[in-house]
Amino acid sequence: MQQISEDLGAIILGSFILLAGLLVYLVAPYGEVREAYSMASSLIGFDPQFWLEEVNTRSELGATLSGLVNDSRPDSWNLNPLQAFSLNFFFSALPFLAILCLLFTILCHLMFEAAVEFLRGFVVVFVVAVLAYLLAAQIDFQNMGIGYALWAIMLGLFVNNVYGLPEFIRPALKHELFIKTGLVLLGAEVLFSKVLAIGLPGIFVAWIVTPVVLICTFWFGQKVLKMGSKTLNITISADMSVCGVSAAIATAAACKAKKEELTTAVGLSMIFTSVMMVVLPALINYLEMPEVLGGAWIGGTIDATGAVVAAGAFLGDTALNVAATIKMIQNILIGVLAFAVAIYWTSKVDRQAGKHVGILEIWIRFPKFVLGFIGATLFFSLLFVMMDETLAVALLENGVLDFSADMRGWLFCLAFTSIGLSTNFRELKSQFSGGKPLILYVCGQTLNLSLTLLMAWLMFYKVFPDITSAL
Amino acid sequence: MKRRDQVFITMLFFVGIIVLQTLLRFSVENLPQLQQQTGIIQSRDIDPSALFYTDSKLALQAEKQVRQQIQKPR
Repeated sequence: MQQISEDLGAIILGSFILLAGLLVYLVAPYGEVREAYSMASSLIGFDPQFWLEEVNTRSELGATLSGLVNDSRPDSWNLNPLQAFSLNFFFSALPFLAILCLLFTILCHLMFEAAVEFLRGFVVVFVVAVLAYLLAAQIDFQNMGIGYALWAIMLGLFVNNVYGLPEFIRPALKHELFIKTGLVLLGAEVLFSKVLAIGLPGIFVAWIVTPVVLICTFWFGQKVLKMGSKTLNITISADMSVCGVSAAIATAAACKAKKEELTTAVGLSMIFTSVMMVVLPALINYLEMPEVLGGAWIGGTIDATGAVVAAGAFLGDTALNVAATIKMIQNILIGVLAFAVAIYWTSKVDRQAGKHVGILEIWIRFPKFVLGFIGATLFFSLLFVMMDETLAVALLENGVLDFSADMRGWLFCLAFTSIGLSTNFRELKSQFSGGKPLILYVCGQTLNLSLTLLMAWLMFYKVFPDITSAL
Repeated sequence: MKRRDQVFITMLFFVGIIVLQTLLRFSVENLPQLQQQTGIIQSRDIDPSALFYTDSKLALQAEKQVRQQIQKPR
């Protein structure tokens, strides 16, 4: 048997999770759900939205599996953290840990690595990841959008730098494997059919402004700020211009950025997202901006989807709908971004000066997990358009993709925990020398705010006013 | 690191978390903007830390509503 690489391992594990999801959430309940749908749709006054809310599209196995993945995370709590641990948590977390251990044992065998050593450390990484979820579930932190990513890094940093990391944990710190597998799952969630949700204005705001801001910020970082690291520069530029943490993860993996660089980008994004979630809707209200314009501005500039929804909801339902849809279209850009960055890095940045890089060399250096990401996007996008739309939402969006999103959340949490556990404060501190990452983020975000507002106003009020009036 | 320093930093870490949480709560209780926003987040069950659109039920619903509104014959 031939040893497989980490990228191939990530593709295999990601595909296995998606295949399991397809079997449990699509194939198993398909007949029953389709019959229920045909019966319901033949009735006069059938409302697909209402039907989707009412119908149970999950088989017993599907409900159990979702229960395991979801209930392994602590519940919300206010002052007493023990409130977060119900009996259900223990009954779910232990089998879920066992399933993860089994999957990674198989993967370790395929990668010719010692499974026992990995598993001993993995249990500790899993426990720290649960603690990160616990802190993220505290109501005040939850309301401000301080999510598991930041807590996982903080807890990992604390354990590693204060107590030192026991040697037996090191074999389990496979942040790249966790990230790449999570990205293959994320690929499935990127559905190209959603791009036209709000028509051409959405394309202009999300798909024209975003790359322009990304390229200008990267150029500014290289030429004006003279950033020491191109990978840090592109990771911050992508996280600020596209969609925060998920874009940072995809870009960092595509250009093989250091873990400290990803940590810096994620930290900046989470802090600014929390601030902008409160400040931007207040500013929009103060300026008495129309809801559609305010929503488009929020959707194009605030990094994380959850914060976009929270900020949009503050202005009203129209603003929420526009903001969330613009952000969703921007989210879809993540696949194109990962592919473009991987190609650019392998063909331009990583080559030796004056040396031509052939197709074969690009292929050898190309991060193969990106192909898993794109393959998952194409497969699920095709599946989505081939199915009846209501059935696709019921079985794919609310079933397979809901499950894969939860699994991806766990994998990212494990990745950030591993990053924290293997990062030294000194290495992290060196990333902030001269405050350049902060300056880059602030300047890029200023450009993003200005261009997005201008484009949103032009598109929604000058070029396509009929779409605005329909909203 | 000495045991004494480890204990001190651990206490500092936990106190830091508690202080941050207290500050956030104090801000929410005393700043009308934050109070209103937190009220909306809780009443509509929004998770502001959702990373991607598939992590947010409201975002998924929003896209469907927007599409319906645009496709509605006028």
